[in-house]
Amino acid sequence: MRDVRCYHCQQELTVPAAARNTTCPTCYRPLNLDDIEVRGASPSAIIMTVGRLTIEAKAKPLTKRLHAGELLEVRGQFDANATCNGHIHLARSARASGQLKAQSLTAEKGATFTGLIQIGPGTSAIDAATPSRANNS
Amino acid sequence: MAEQNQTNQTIIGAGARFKGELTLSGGALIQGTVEGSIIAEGPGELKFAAQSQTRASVRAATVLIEGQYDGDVLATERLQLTSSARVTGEVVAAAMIVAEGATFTGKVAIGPDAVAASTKAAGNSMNSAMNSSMNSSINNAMNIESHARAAAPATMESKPASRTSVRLPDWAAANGGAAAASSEASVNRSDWMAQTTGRTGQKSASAEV
Repeated sequence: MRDVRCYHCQQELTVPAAARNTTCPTCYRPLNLDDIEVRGASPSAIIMTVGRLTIEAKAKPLTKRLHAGELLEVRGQFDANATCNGHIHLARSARASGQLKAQSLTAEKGATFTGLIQIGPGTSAIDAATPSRANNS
Repeated sequence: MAEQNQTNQTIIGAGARFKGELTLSGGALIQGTVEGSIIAEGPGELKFAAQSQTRASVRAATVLIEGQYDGDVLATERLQLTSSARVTGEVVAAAMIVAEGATFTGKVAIGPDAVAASTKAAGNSMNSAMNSSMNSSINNAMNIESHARAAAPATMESKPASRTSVRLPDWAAANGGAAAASSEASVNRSDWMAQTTGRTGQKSASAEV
């Protein structure tokens, strides 16, 4: 079994370890339980998972909203509003801008980021449930 | 050797309160309250201990914050916030580490380009700040002298007033425009942003999502 947190309502729930998606029993919205790797120019407006999200070195997602439950690993490029209930790691090849919210963060020497960062308890949940700019447009 | 290094380090102890501009060569340990600006030249580490309370702008190679900090940070090598850190302000750093438990809110620019632009801008503004502080020192010294002369009773033999001798260094005289440097920094940043967003405009859907 695996403990995860709904990225819509922030409710904690327990799911089978092998499950790939589920519905939140509190807000009845779908949850992606997979680990996600983005390797190209993803056209998705929103990428959300309760697991790990990796933006690979050559990835340039058009996404404006990213959420990872456990870990957000950035090796490529993005300009988005990214939240993580755990840790955000900007590797040396990362070229990022936008807003980051997480519990902890590391940015390796060589990585570039321009924007706003919020670190601390509760910060990753601030607008996890709000629709993204990309979703509105 | 370690003991010798430790004794040479600048320490603002717990309970001490410092207000003003502090320029160091090497590292420092801040345990007290600091208000103003700190410039640490050289490769040393500037450490703000857990009990420290700082409202300042800081420039150093490596900055380690464990306490409460409100202000701007320029770390040319690394900025590290430990789990007890409570930080707000603008940050420019080559690398950044924020431990779980720490709180941080602010604008951040990470990367060698941001550091280079900010260092250049900070250098120029420091020149102008140093110039103004030196000018005020000169004025103060002149005031002290004139007051001393005026205060000396006519019946007494007036002694030479203690005079603060201030010699302007060459670099302070050749002061560049800080505004020009900062505008250059913003141009660089917008260039980079445009470049990034331009690249992301390519449409080739090969993502594994």
